Amino acid sequence: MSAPASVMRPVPAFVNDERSMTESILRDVADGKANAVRDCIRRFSGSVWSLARRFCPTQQDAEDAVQDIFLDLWKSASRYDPSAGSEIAFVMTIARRRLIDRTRRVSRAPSIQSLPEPEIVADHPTRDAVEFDEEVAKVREAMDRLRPEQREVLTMSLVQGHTHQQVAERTGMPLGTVKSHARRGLMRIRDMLGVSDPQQGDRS
Amino acid sequence: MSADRCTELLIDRAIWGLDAAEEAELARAIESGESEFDLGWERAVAVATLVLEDEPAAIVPPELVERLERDAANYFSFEFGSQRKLRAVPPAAVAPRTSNAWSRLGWFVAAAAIIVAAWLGWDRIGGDASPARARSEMLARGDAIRLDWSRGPSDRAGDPTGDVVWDAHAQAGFMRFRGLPANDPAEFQYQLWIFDGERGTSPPVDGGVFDIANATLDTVVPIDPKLLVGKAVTFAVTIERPGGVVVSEQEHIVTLAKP
Repeated sequence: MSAPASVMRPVPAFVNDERSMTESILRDVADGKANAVRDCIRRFSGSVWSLARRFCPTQQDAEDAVQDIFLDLWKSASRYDPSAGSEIAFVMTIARRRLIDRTRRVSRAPSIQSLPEPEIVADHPTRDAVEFDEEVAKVREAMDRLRPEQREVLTMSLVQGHTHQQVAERTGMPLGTVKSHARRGLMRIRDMLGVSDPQQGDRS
Repeated sequence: MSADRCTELLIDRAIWGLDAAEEAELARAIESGESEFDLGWERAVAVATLVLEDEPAAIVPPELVERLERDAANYFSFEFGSQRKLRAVPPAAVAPRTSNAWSRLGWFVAAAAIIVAAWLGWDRIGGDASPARARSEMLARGDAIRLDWSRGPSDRAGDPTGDVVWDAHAQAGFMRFRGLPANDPAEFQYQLWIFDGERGTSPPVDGGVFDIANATLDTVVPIDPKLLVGKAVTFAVTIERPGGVVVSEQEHIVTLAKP
């Protein structure tokens, strides 16, 4: 992905930025290494921020949420297990959980497009982390095989932050159908990741 | 509960979150052994979100990046640039959420303040949004209850004192401790449980995992309830494995607070 001419890097260049994409940042974060912590913020904050903007009704809420998410990440970094998935998946799992909890706590449905669009978008370093991630490649392949309705429901729910009721209203699908599409789609994605389900056994 | 129903709840939880009744249903299934809590669905959702996200990431506001770095410095007790470890600061200390004052003063002042905070104890100089200040403001509003901690039955309880402040309307609160033994987060962590009088025989609500950096200083920890709490009747802190648990065995209850 090439950067536009007006690109502005979202964070300043770092003194020590020699870590490769394949090294474990989170392990070093758990050890409290300052450069790793800074790398972690640089690499993952863009994806977390993008997600938070979709879940939160105001810029201030989104910023507070991102602070909460990274505090959770510092606390949880020692639990990261490379054999259980990629670092970006670990980070985004924490981010989504925190955002869902936060949304439910204030009894407010996620509001989309309520924040002003950024004037400048960047070819953010975190996109590199996404592009080169093996899990992302597997799921991208799985996505291509989903039925259009499954993909639509998942996009509206995961990316746009809609509740199942909102998806039903916007698509005209019955609520049960919305849930069914989302569940079946996610099952295919999970299968593609090779994660066994202890409730059902290995579906593959 | 059938395995299919468990799967439905776990998937819905990962995609949309569950309401209180569904969370309780899932918690009961896990507690009874009918269901096993696994994060596979959350992981699948996280990666799928990244794939479906087809727009370039928005720029992170530089002020937010500064706050993230300050929070990290407070949490890990280090100064960016030197890599020199500083004295421990209570982990509940976080950067002010809205003020730009720290940005204007610059990083050197922030780093100096961290050192001073470690020397004096964070509570005495905490910023406008410090947990200690937020706790005081909550008490001042008059809507919150305050309950003193009493020592729990565990032989690892130490000699805890302090109190818990809980605002049911805001679904928020703070715990203040002194005398609770410091913990190594890699070895074990403390976890708060809120017993809800309106949940019948359901398990208590997870109030969040936290650490104590220094038993001799006051540490104020925000309460982080994972479910809506109808009527809090007892607060209990247990020792759990790092990261906490979904349902506690309550083997080590270190402190309790109740009317």
